[in-house]
Amino acid sequence: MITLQGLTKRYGGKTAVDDLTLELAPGTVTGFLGPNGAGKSTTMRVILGLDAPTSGSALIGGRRYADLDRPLRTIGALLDAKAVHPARSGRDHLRAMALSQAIPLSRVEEVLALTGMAAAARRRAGTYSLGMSQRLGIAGALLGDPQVLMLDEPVNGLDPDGVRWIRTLLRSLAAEGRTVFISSHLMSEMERTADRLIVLGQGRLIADEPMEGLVAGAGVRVRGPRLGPLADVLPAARWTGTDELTVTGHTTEQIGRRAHELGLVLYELRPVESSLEESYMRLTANSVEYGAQA
Amino acid sequence: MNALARAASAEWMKLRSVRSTWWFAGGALLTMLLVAVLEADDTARFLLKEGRPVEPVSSVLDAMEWVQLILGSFGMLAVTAEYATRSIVVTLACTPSRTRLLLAKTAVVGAAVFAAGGLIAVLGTVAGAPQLQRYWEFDTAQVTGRILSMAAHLALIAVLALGLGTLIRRSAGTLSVLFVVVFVLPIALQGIATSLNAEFLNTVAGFMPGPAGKRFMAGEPAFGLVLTAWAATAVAAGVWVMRKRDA
Ligand SMILES: Nc1ncnc2c1ncn2[C@@H]1O[C@H](COP(=O)(O)OP(=O)(O)OP(=O)(O)O)[C@@H](O)[C@H]1O
Ligand SMILES: [Mg+2]
Repeated sequence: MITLQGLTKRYGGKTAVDDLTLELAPGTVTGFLGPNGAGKSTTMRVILGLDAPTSGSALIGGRRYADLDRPLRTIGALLDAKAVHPARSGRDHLRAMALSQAIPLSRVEEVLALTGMAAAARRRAGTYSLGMSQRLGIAGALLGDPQVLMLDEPVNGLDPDGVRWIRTLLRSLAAEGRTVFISSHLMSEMERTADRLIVLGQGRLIADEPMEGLVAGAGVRVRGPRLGPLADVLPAARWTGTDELTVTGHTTEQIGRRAHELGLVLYELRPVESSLEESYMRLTANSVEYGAQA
Repeated sequence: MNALARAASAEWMKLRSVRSTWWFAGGALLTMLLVAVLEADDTARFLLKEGRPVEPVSSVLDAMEWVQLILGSFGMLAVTAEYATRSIVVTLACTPSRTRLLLAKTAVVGAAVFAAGGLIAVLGTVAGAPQLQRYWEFDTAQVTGRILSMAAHLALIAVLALGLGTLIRRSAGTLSVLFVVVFVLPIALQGIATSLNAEFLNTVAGFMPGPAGKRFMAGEPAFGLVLTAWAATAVAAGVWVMRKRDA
């Protein structure tokens, strides 16, 4: 379990993380979202004790990272897949990690096989593709068979097969009662993997909700050649296309009946869910720092 | 196994699993053999002209000037390569205690350079022997002592570079500072001493790592302590800075 209490991190004048308080529970996959520069990686760096918090605290199972005896056996993390000495083989990289934790070297072979890196393990890490580096990083995170797993953009660079593999892996680790914390910019992937979402904007917490809360029913989509009269009688209707309305607060039955009374032709009438992407865009609209100027 | 031993075994694994380690060892050996052989005659004749005794390690001592820079760079890279590749992030995740990490690196680099340096000095002595034996007075105890102090000197220079590398983090900057501390500063101090007629500056120069190491290798063990103090200070400063600073 990870507990952040009033966590604040400033770099010079720049506040990267601003008074963040949260608790990550075992048995769930928590997704960590937010625009570029929102402070996701910084939060993870502070949890790992790489950067010292300006104020507040980050604890893993009640202890600071630096106070964990063999930390990889408690929390496995992947922050930067390319942070590997390019001249060292993937296997030797993992072996050095294992030796530092008194993890048997046979475990290195296990995680290499698990991540599909066994065949490339002898090669120098500098020759790995992004996806292979990512797999090596995940192998390192799994090395100590930890109760807590924290991955910064793990699907970045993975092929579709790898994306599906990591989704299944993370779900099964959470099902075993472990705490899984992942950041990502891929909304569709998050939607399928996470149980709970934490959204950060300019270092501040802007949402902390179960997945259902963010992708709940958004309304009914109505399509037809002449929907003006329907829009007039339903104040909760929004034009979402030239021949398309999205109506909230009414069932498909109510809307169909109304359209019939008005003598309108409908091409389509169906309930829609807002995608996570839409909810996310709405939540972060005001906190995008590094957005393209339209 | 305790935490320090675990960290040290990981550091040793890291050192031996990159090819550059073996290039450094080979480069140091090659430099030693070349200088020890090529300089042997000149050195012997120079010493005789000065009325000083020729030792079996006389030309090996000449080669130390270069070998110490090569093995110093090696010691430095144990830290700066981790910053350059960002793999320091993984290292600190494995060993969060900065003190423990630097002690482990110091132990491994020091021991590796001591062993390699001792071997290189022995091989250099053997290589120079055909030319030097005409002039030398062989004293086993003395030669053994010289070789051990050369090995220790190389290990201490490597540890000094490791400490400087931790402070500076970049290879180019660290090498410049190492070069200045070992070679340039003593000469500069001596120059100033002469022009200002300030004898104490000469004394100060003698306590800089380069000159202190030379006198240590020439048979003054007390100067081994001076060099040890330099190396220990650099590592202690490295620990202090690393504890304060974000990775
Ligand atoms: N070492 C540092 N020095 C100065 N500023 C930093 C440092 N590290 C991060 N920052 C700043 O802190 C803010 C948060 O960065 P962070 O990397 O945590 O964002 P992020 O949410 O991970 O973004 P992304 O989605 O792009 O990975 C950014 O404005 C960044 O420029
Ligand atoms: Mg990031």
